[in-house]
Amino acid sequence: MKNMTKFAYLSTFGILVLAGCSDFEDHKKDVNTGSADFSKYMAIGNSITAGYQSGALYEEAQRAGYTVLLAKSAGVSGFEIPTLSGEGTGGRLKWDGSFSPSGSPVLVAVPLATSSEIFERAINKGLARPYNNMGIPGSVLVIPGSAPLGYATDFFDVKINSTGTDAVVGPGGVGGSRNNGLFALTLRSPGSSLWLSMKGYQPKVVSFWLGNNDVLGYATSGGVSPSAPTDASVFQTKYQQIADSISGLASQPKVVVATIPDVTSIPFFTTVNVSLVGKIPSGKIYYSHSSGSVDSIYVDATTLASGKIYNRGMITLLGASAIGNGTSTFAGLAKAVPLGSQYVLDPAEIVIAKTAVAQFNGSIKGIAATKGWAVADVSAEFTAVAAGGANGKYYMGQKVTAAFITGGLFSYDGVHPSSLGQALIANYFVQAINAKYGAALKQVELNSPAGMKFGKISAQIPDGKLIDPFTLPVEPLKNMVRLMGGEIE
Amino acid sequence: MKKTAALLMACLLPMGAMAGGFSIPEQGSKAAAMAGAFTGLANDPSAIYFNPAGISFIPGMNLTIGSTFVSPESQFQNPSASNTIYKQNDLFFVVPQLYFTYAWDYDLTFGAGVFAPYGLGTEWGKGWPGDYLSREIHLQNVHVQGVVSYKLMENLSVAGTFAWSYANAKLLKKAEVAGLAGDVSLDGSGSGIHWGVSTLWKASDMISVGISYKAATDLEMTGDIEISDAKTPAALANEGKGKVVLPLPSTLNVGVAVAVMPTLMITADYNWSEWSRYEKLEIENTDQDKILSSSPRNWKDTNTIRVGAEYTGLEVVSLRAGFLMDSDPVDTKYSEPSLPDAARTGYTLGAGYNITDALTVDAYLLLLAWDEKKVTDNEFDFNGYYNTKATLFGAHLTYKF
Repeated sequence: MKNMTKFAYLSTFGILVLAGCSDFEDHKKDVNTGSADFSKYMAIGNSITAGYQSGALYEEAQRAGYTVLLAKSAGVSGFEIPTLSGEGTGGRLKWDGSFSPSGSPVLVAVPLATSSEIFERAINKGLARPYNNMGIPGSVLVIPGSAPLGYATDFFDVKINSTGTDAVVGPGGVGGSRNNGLFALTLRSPGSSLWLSMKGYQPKVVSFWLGNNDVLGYATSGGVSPSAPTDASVFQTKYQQIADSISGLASQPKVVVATIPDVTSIPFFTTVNVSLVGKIPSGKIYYSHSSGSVDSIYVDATTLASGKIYNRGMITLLGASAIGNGTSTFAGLAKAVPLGSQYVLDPAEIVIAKTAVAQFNGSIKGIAATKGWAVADVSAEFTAVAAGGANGKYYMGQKVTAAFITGGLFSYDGVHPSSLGQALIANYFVQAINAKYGAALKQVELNSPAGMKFGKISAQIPDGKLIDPFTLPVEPLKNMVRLMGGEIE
Repeated sequence: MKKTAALLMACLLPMGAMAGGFSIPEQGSKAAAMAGAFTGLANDPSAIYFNPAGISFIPGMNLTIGSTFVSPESQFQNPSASNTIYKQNDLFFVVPQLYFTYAWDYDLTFGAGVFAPYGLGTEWGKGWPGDYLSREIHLQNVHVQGVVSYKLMENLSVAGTFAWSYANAKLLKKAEVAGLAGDVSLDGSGSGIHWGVSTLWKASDMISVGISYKAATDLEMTGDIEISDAKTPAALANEGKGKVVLPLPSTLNVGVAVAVMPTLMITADYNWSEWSRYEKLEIENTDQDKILSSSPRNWKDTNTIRVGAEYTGLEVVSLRAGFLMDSDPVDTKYSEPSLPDAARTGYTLGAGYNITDALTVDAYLLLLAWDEKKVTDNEFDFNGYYNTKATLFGAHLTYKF
């Protein structure tokens, strides 16, 4: 009887306890920026930082960029960007909703805007202070070629000229093709540079992400022009100089930098070889090296199955159009008419590009470590996604792969991140900042918050129906390569 | 004919709540009131579920009818991304049972039961962060089971069971197959068979021991795959006949009942369930022989401890109580929102009332609390806090003919 009473007592007690604790614990955590004061946040970077995607810079993409998301996470109001309304620069690649007879979704390009159209679309150019997002498409860390004494050799210190429409960096301006007007639209006042803007603004938080174009121009032009990535020791020196400038600011900003993803794992290089399998009777594509000698790439099923489809070179997205655009003789099908060197990253060039990326990242991480800066290791994350192959990597319950169009990470240009990719980058930055500066910024949720399109841009493209690279509009892609510093005719 | 049978079944089909894995062991009010620690006692017709060999000791002809009701509550929160608490839709499940026993001759007792030992139902909102993993899953299952129990000795019985199991599953989530458009759903049904063996040994006036084993089976459900939202021709080409296979575990229950006093029975159970059979969830398009989505589950076997008590010192009323603890079948690494399970603790209270000599009513209440599940190492990078609880109650009428 005693036991029973005890048991009944315990059971009743248990039920009362449970009934009393009817509410679950709320784990809500207030946003806290830690030692990083985001009230004055300035972002330096290239096209990725600007929000460029699918071959264009336009408002919707700008607002989906990681800097805007990061500012939002930190609860910043008044984060100003050089907004380009509507179609912005033009050249955007998009799916028109139809399918080709072979079942491939048809991509079309918005016309490229003229410089006066772009100027008119810059609806925020009256802002009386520097923009918070100073990401400029085409920015490199080191400007190629030897600049004469007295001129800047890094993009950070390039000054805009007196007409306010162009930038100068010694003879020939900012590397010719890279001079795209966006530099002037971002800096605006003559004589201004990124560095001077930063000094004037005295930011308390700086995100700094340059270096991608120091290898992308080389790689996307098939290793032709420029003929080499930025020299690693020059990269190290310039990065160190810029880092010293930033850390020397009176505002003593908290800084977050980012690493450079491996350029050879992006769809611009990984799509065409595979797409050609089964379509070329000889199973071979001939191409010329920059030396002039002709070599071949195997694009047959056996090579695909062996996993060595890129062993003899990677054909770029632009290469597909060169193969397919001839009327009588297609380039690459016969040894006598090889694919141009600018359309193929040959094995030696792949090694050069990969080595450059590894060395740049070594510099970035090393310098950030000595400065005590946060590092968003975008390179490691993108590599993990690419290494996952068709299984990619899961982020917050969503699978992302590095595949062209259907993967989710990259936009239609095969180089730049999609909106989802930008959200992921924002989250890498959030994690790095939280860890380094004792902050509690929220990560961006990946399920299409109101007003933003985070859905995979691939959502409409059926499984197995890759975009046929032969039908891709070429001009926006060429424009993009030029933007990144590559020369392509 | 087949259609009529399916329709009839559909009327009987309960909607299950989540439970240790997706089993619902609350299959009788008397047993459930003692936290399900009933394998060693098994002295009412619900023994057909708990320990079929128990029916050898139930004289005459008996009928039990009743139901368990389940009201779960579950939520997810990932404060590293948002303070929003995502709550599951409110669901209420009815899990009915019907048991019949008949002590024939030659020490043979027959039994038959219709009940629903497995079921699952979770619904999250459309567009919620876990949409690519699961939005809705419903599993409905009904067993029609026959029992033959034989008294080997005056105090020892053995039983064999054979069950036909019908199941219907409905899955809905945002597509995760590269490029597949919009929402994908599968609505399928199928059946399987189960068998089991069990024994009950009344070692003395005070102590009885029971063991019940049920074999594993797979519920292979086929039905239609539908794609909604983005109805592009190529996306719709993925529609067609689909298949999903849900494994049911083999289970081993060992129980003991001790009459510590003539009016006080204490029972205890150990249950083992082979949930490690649930390795993955695959949706297959059988028209095209193509796996549309495959998601790892990698569950683990579970262990459950149950303790119950029944006090019969009051004339027509029996008082019952119990306590149970269940282990978690899902490592945080593989946890996902279609079944956010965790280790559980349950407290039960109940009573039986003899309305007449022939008619008894039993009722129970079970409060079930899942440990908070803090996920940080998730395979799907779906990290956060899951919280779940459920209130179960039920009532059963038993009539001795």
